Amino acid sequence: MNRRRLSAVALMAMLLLVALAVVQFAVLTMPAMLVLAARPASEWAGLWSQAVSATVVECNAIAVVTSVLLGLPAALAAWHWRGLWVLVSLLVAPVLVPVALLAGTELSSQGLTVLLVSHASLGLALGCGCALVALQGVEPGLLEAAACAGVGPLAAGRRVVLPLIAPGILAGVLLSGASSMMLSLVSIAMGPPAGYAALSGLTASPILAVIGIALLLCAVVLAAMTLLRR
Amino acid sequence: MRQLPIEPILRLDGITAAGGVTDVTFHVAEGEIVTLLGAGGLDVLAMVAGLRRAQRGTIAVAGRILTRTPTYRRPIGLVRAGQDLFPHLDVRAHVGFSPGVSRQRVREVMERLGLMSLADRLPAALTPEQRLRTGLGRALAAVPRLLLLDDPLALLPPPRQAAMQDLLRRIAEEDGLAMLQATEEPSRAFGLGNRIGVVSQGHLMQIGPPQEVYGAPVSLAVAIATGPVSALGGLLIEHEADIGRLRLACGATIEARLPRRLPIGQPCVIALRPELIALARIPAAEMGEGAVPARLIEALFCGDHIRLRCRVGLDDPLEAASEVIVIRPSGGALPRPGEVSLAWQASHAHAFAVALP
Repeated sequence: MNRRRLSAVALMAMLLLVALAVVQFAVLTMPAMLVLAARPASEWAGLWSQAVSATVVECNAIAVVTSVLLGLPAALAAWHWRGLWVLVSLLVAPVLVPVALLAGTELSSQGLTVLLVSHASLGLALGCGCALVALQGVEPGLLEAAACAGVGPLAAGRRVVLPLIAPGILAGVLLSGASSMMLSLVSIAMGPPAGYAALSGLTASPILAVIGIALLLCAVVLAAMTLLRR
Repeated sequence: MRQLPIEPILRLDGITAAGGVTDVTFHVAEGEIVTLLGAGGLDVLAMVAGLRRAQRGTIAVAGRILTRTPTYRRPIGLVRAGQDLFPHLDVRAHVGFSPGVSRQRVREVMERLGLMSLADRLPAALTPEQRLRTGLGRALAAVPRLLLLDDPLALLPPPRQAAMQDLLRRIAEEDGLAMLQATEEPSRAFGLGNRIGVVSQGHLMQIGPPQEVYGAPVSLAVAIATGPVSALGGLLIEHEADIGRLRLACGATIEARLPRRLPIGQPCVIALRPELIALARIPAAEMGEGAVPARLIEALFCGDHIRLRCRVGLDDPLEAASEVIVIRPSGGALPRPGEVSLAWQASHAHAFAVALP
């Protein structure tokens, strides 16, 4: 595929991504906001105590730990072996899924496993994404210099790469924790009695499933285009 | 790894890389500095370092064949112009970066390179020369057998280049260290190399002492790569030993050195070094045999020298093909345009065959 055709496909994917973002805002985020706004003031008092419950803390912890333990190695692997870019873009894709959609999924399932998996996937995506961005600033010449100084690949990663991307790793940790907390708060706020029925009805609709899948596909196409144009 | 009964620190035998160099063979002895001049030199350097894979051939360092050995296990050091320093490490940490380097060794190297006062500085706070010295310190601390120089002086002004070349020569001599430099700039090549190898179109065209490569190039590509040349078109009309007589397009007959035997009637390009051409405001007949009439078109003051642009053959319509540049030491008034005569020794002109279109 020549570069001009690649550019055209990438542009179409990007336009589709923007269109889908607008649609999901109209059919999901806006109704969710309306549901929240309609809740009586008396119900808000108990929400804050729920926000610091053991389950929420567990969810935050799993998101943060996943961002470092899985997100960082995935980013390093994608940086070293360019062929893994498409696979890693799938891991990063949950960042694109609207928080309200994830919250709705949690509400629909009501299971701890699904809850932890959704938070872990968010942590993995953010940790991997932040580390990848930080890795773009590491010159390949530095690793060559380390190798020529007699330092092996693992030691070079520990002594050269990790210190240089430390701000990116920290950003991933903070973002994972904050996003996990936001997801928990949205789930709690949308929960029973008022919002649950409305939101679980919304997330169960086929159009949202299509939107979610299309968002992921667009992200993968864009990542593939970026890879092929290198 | 197999031991080879050879003396040189580095021996390359038929090294070939896809899209890069082809069948490169040479060696670097202990204490010797070899410079590869031309775009392909960096490919060779990368293969010796193990940063690029050689498809064919053998790379041996200090008697050990290292063609398939990973970079970090090769007894080499790599010095670049200072852009490969680690941004988060200070000068002392750079010098002690290699495994097994003692504090005593770090101190010795830093003192030798004048880095003691900069020990706690990060690369961002260093000048280009200090960065280069830091990179050199990092490479020397591990006591390599071979130092690879990736055009390390490229970012320095000419006076500092000369100082660093002196330092590198001293290190090579005192430590018995072999050095291999790659650059595309002739002045940096001749300023450092004991031998110069010209890499053009993926081939090592010529390797030898600097004077030989500059003064007796084996091809037009070598002549162009090693310094400024003016090229004249001519036809070989007779030859004796390695000196040929050629007729220029303007009708004048000149003598030139023939690096290879050529048939009579062969169209040639005659390469002339601008500083080896004599220019006088007298008729060509009075200047002596082999002098050619020319017109001085422009004189340009360039600081330490004057650049004179001349056109050989007073009525020659092929202006571009017959233009000759003459360089003279500066001093006195600039010569005014007008008719002049040009002459050169036969051994200073080199005739190379050109293919007919």
